[in-house]
Amino acid sequence: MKTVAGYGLIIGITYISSTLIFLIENMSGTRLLIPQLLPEDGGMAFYFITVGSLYGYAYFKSREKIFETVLLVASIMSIAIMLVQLLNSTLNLMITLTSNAWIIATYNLSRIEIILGLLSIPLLLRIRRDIYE
Amino acid sequence: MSCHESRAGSTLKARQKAIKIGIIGNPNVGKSVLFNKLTKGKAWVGNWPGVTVEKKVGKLTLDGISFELVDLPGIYGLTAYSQDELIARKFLLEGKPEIVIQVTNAINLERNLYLTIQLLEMGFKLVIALNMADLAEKEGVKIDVDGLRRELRTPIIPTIAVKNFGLNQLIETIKEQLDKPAPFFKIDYGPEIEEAIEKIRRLIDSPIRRLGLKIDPRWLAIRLLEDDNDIIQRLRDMGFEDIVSEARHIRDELQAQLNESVEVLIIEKRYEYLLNLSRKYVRRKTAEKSLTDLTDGLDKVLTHPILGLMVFASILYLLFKFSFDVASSLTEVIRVTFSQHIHDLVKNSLHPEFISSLFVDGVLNGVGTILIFIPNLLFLFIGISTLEDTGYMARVAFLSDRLMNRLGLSGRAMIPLLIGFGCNVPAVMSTRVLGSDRERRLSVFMIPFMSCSARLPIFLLLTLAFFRENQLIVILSMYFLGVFIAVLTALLFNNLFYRKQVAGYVMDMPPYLNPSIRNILAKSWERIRSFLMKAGTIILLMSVVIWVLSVTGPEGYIGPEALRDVELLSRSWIASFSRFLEPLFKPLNWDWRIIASLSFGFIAKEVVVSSLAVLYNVGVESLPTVLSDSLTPLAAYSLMTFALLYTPCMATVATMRNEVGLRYTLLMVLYQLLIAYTAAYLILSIGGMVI
Repeated sequence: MKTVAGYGLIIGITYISSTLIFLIENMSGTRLLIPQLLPEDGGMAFYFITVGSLYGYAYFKSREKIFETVLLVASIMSIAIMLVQLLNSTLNLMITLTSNAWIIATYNLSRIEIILGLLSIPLLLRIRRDIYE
Repeated sequence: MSCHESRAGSTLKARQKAIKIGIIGNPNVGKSVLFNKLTKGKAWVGNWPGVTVEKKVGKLTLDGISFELVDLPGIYGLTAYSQDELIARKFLLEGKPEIVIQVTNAINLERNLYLTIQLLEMGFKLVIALNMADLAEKEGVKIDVDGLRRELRTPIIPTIAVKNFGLNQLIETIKEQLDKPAPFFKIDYGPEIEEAIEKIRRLIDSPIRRLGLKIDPRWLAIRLLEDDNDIIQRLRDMGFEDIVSEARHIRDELQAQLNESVEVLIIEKRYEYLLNLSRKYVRRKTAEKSLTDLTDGLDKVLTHPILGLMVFASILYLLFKFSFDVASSLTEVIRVTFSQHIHDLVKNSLHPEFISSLFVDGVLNGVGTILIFIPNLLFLFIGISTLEDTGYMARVAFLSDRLMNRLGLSGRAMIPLLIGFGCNVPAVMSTRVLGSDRERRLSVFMIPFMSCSARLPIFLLLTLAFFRENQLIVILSMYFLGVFIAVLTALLFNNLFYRKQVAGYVMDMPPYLNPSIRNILAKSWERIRSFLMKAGTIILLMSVVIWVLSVTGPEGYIGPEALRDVELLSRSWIASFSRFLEPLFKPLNWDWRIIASLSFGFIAKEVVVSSLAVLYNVGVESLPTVLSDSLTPLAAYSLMTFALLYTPCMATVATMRNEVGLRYTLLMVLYQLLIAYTAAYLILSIGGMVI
């Protein structure tokens, strides 16, 4: 379980770091990182902080029973935002079939929430197995 | 036919009146399909007495025996917290059905069983239709039907209503049950509560018998212990005030003895019974080893005072992103299809110009405006239905309960208010889930102040013209202003009409379950269909009316050119009407074109921007420049405030009328106009003094 909690913590730290950089960039008006590694807007920044906090909370509760459910919520939320973004990109791609649509689609696929969502899938599967079996 | 059946049949034939049967069940379990199949479409629709909720009644005649089937609203329980629950319970108590058919969804049987045990506690002869039996089997759900039948002492018939499977057996079972007594069903609530139930039951028993009422006294005693306002009122109306007082005394004593809410303890016992029932008789391939453990664990996170709120706000963001960002590309497709392809096709194929303009500028613009909403609404409904199906919505209500109580509302009212930021129409419709009429009205009064997405184009246009530097802050100030006015409205109306009543209620927390795609799609479609039927027809009609008012005037027919020529349009009825109103708006420094645009905004708020473009005779892209020449920034801010607060679009007004009645809708429309005018005027005059 320690490995699972540690893996979740790394994802959580990435979410929070990305948000912090987003906030610093916005407050200072400087560019520190490429945009697709940062949340798109304030709402998404809040979402990132929530998911990051949940992963962090799960790590600190890894010896307690609540750990599994916190991790379950965190991984579901992480995958949910990825799915919404994927759907958004797919629909945009299908509708705006312009010459650079594929470039935009590839750009969108490398967004941070998609990468972190993908990394959360094995975690969700593992937690589901632990809960249900 | 067996000897028993033949005897039952002859007794039934002797009955003069049609045998009344209530069909009840959770929403989306196939209740209406079963009703339609049984009545073979021979049904009529009316309203339940005193409310505008539809009532479907159908006839079924078999071997000379007449049955009257009543399709009740989809509900999860009989606690009478929502209007639908209240209607269903009223029918069960006053309609005196001889048999109740409960349609259950075999896939999520656990969720349906709460209603089952409530019906059995009421003492009804129940027949359970275990619907969607085929899908349940496919999904690996194994139900021990015989075991469950024995445990509940109630017939359970597996059905597949859409394929007519099991319906004959269902009818035969109903006929058999008619001459049998109601089964004895009892949940053991523990020695202390049982003792209190028995005391109250003894108090009620003989008066009930004297009056010849067919109500189970034990059930009444339980309801009195649960402090059921509806039952208390009924007993008072029957002159049993002394029984109510005595029952209250017993309840208070018990509460003091147990040091916990009796209502909560009773609900907990019911769920305990329910979970044991599910564990014993329902098996899943993906064994839900510990549904309770999982639910308890998830609740620790999702109802946590800090984490719970953070998760809620994040889910809300996700819901809006899903409903507006993702749906926007589809919205664009519909907009282009209507404004270009269909527009051109109709324009080129219809002659003369009068007819072509009626269809293009009137009908198509109206239909187009409605259809543009569809992707957003569909995605929003899919998102909400998913949250409902998982059981998360009950947790949202729990989280926001304390905050909403200060406004005289319960936590459940938070959901319609949040939906209002997307679109006021589904928000008003979703107030149906709220407990009392008072709560529904208060929420409906608040919703129009939640700035829906249709008002955003107005804010964008005006901020672009006047507040380019602080666009986001100015737009955000509109959202906050809307919430502020909504809160003031709730406080005011609660004080004025309801003397600061606070909505208190105990929530049933359903277990978390995987959402069913079939359920979600069915529920979303039903909501979209209802939106199209109710709002679409009115918008279409009003679009045509406004078109007629724009191409005709006091001098007679002007022609469709008026829609493209401001000189001609100024001779139309709509211009005359706006000029008539002009003195009223003189203190706000608006000319007739702004008044006319805001009037068009009654059709749909998006229309305001395009109307301004037509009336100022410029394209939408040049509009900010033209407006910045004719208005001051302060006047623009006051205009935005008016646009935020004034009467919502007619689809919302029509929905409000359906939900709270004409009197309250008119009151609200007038109240909003007054608030909008006052706020706009105050901003202009106070701002004028400051700047």
